[in-house]
Amino acid sequence: MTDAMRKSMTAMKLAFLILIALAMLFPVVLTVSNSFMSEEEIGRHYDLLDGGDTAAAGKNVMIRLIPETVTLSQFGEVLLKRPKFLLHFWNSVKLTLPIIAGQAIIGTLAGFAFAKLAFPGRDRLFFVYLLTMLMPFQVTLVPNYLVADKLGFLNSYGAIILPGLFASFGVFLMRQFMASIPDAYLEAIRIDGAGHLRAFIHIALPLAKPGIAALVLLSFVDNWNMVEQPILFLSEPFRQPLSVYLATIAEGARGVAFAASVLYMTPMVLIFLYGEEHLVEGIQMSGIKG
Amino acid sequence: MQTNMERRKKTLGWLIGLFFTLLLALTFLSNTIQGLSLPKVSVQKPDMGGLDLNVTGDGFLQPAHTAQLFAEGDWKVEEILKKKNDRVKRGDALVTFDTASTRRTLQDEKTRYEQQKLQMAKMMDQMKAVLSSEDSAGADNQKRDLESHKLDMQVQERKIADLEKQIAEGGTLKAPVDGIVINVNASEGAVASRGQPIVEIADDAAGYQFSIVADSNDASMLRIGDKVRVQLDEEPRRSIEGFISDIEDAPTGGNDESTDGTNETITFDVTDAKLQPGLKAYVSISNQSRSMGMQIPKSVLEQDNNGYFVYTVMEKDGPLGTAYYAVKTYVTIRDENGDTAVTDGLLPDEPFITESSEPISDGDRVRYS
Amino acid sequence: MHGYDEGHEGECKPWKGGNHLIRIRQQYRRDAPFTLLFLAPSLAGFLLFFIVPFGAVVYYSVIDNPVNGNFVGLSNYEALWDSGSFRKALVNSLLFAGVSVPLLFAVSLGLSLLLRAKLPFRQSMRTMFLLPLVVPVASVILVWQTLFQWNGAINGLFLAWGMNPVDWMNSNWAFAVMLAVFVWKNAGYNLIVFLAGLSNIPTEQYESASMDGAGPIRAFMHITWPGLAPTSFFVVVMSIVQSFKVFRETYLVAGAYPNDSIYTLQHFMNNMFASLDYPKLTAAAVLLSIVIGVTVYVLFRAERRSREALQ
Repeated sequence: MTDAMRKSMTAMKLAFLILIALAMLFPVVLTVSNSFMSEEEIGRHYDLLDGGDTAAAGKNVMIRLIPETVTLSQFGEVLLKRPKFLLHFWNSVKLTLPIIAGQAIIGTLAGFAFAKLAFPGRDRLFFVYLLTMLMPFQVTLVPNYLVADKLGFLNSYGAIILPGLFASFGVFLMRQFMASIPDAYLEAIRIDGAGHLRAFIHIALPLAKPGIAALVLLSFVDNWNMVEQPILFLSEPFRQPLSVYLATIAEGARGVAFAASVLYMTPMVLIFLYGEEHLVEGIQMSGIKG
Repeated sequence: MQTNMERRKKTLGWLIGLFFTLLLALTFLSNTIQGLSLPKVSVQKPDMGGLDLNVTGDGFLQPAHTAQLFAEGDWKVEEILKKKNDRVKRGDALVTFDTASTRRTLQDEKTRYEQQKLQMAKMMDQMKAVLSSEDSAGADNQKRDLESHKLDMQVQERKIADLEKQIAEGGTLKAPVDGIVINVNASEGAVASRGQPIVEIADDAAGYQFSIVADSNDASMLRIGDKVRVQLDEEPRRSIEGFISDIEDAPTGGNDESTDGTNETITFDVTDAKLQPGLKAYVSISNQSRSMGMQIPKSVLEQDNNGYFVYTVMEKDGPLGTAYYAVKTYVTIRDENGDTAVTDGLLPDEPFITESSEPISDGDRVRYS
Repeated sequence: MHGYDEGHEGECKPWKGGNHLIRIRQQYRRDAPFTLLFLAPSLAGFLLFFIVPFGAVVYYSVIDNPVNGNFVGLSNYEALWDSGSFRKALVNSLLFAGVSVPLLFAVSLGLSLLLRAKLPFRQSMRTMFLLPLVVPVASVILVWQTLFQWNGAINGLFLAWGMNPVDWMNSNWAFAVMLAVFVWKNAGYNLIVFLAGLSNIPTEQYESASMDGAGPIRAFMHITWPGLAPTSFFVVVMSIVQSFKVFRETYLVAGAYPNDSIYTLQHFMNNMFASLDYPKLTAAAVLLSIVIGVTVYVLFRAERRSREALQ
């Protein structure tokens, strides 16, 4: 292969990848750019969608990325005039934060046990954890519903947070991380006469920090977007998290939906960019058979 | 590269903190911001019970009956004994007249009567002559003339008697009833006109009356004959009993701004010894309407295709604090007076909106203090 | 990693010999209190919210209803099987998993092979590919509607090119749309996993292969593919997990009763839940669990065999 050939190959590869990357990015770009349009402009562009199937064929929504006038009016409307948005935003925070914290703590502890402690039936139990991780939420829906009902949790965040704390994904990911910590490190501190607890606190925990960061990120992404649990367990609309609220805003108030989406996305994207290398590391770990 | 990465992370960390701080601040301010942009309303809670129907008003007492006294002849007024507003008793002299002209007429008439007497004597003499001449036809004729003359004389006698009586009685105008002189239409030395009463006297026995105008809804519970207390504008103040003598539709005074309803003129009669015409009298009558319900001012009532409604305030406790919403509440009007209506459809403690800074519609969030 | 392997071997091969066995027993005893301490919170919740409920699901699936609790054997399953909507949902779900998982696998593997080389913007592109993972469901819905509704932008393009518009959401095309959304959202995740797997393959292997005159295809078949075997297992497992999560997007776009082609088991189960048909719901849950369990077990065995073959 000549140098020129290799170069043109690379260029082609690059062009193809950039094309795909742009396609990947397209929804975000569309959402962000449309969030700077005025409500009136959004209304004009998207009224066909709300017209339903009866609207005449031949007239179609066009993709518009450049606002006629850049304005922050959508953001103003969402943040200042619709306290509902803020209410649902904090609902999401209230649901997500305890789950993330709980998963991190419980997952780290159990991950350490699965990776570094010996007990009978360990791998079989871990396999069961893995299986439940694969089950869609609906499988244990009825009993979870009945348990929540019995415990008086129905219609409260407890019904969602409690099962969320124990989601097997946290345990799975932390076990993968803990397994990657060389035993020699742990043995070294144990020789000094320290027990498992000190080994965990002084060796495993600091080394698993990226893992915890990855878990926090992945768990945040997952729970920030939760849909099934709230729609089934929470009946009052004002308790719903932002994910469910935004789905309704898309229908009724398209004019501000883009800005609301951007605001919804912002914490996730910022945290994603902030912890990207941990996230990548975490994802890599989930794919490594320890 | 590493520092670059670190700087990026630092910036992102700041952005995350900034984002959450911003949203936190906006949440903290959300009620305030909302409050500033929400229509501000004033509310009131309805009073339970029947409608108070108040009729108040004042008027000037008018005599129910006036005795009008006329001069008996075209006399010059000699002396006015009672002035306007003087209290008089029956038989009191009011005005004396200079009856000289009538007396002269009487003199003349008496003279004429004397002449007729002389004429009579003369005719009697002629009669005797005719009777002696035995002219029967002439005698009859003479007899008839004599009879006619006798009748003339009788007329003249009555005329004189009349004039004498006129002078005797009419010379002094006397009060026919107890009462108050309300008008004297004469001046001393001037000839009293006969066309109009010289003195008018309000008759105590007949009493006084006054009228007020009231909203017909307010007056709906009033009946003719109802006894009422009437306050009199006197020193010291006192109140006497009166009764409603008349209720009739008042002529609508054009485009009256007060109410769209009709008005009633209510007349009250009062009888008392010491009343004066022109005295100011007040009445205030409170009644309760028969229908019970929630009382609301008529000004808050609005109307649409489904009937009358008011906006009530619904309180919703949310995580962002208490929020208030305007809710259309339909009511049925059971009764109304000038400014208040009794309605069904409201709860006793349900606050309704009386005023709002901007037009509101159903479901609007509002703020109220 | 060695620590785990040691435990793993100890667990799987306890018959190996006396000394070893005693050592393991000692290890168990020594670790027991800590195991309890570390595992207890997770295990308690896991039992309460997953294992016991799952037991309850199995129990509910063989009784007539939770109130009466009469044992009815497998009649719930028969009723479930007779239900047309269940069979449709099952077929759709299996079909979706069967198509989407390999498709996603191929796409993300292809991308990772492309991105493996030293390229400009490599880092930024990785970020872009990963971004869909954090794009919220609600934003996806807006874009989804904009693109795929009857009056949407894609039909607009079709018309502009003189093609017939397609009723994306109300025809079998909905299935393709769901596939596209699935791949869009999850390609980044698997790409990262594959990149990690690829970086674990020693470059010397490729160098020696190219010295032997092997082309890129042969190098892939003999070095890359076997080297990725353990990674692939988790990619497939995670893809299955994710394939169930597309339900979120479909549900929010198309509601509880979407076009037949994307009516999945989750729709079915949600609707059974809404109509309080617990017997059918639990029976479906048990069936689904069995399918997933068997699939994962088969994959697990396949992965182990390929790893053993590699060693």
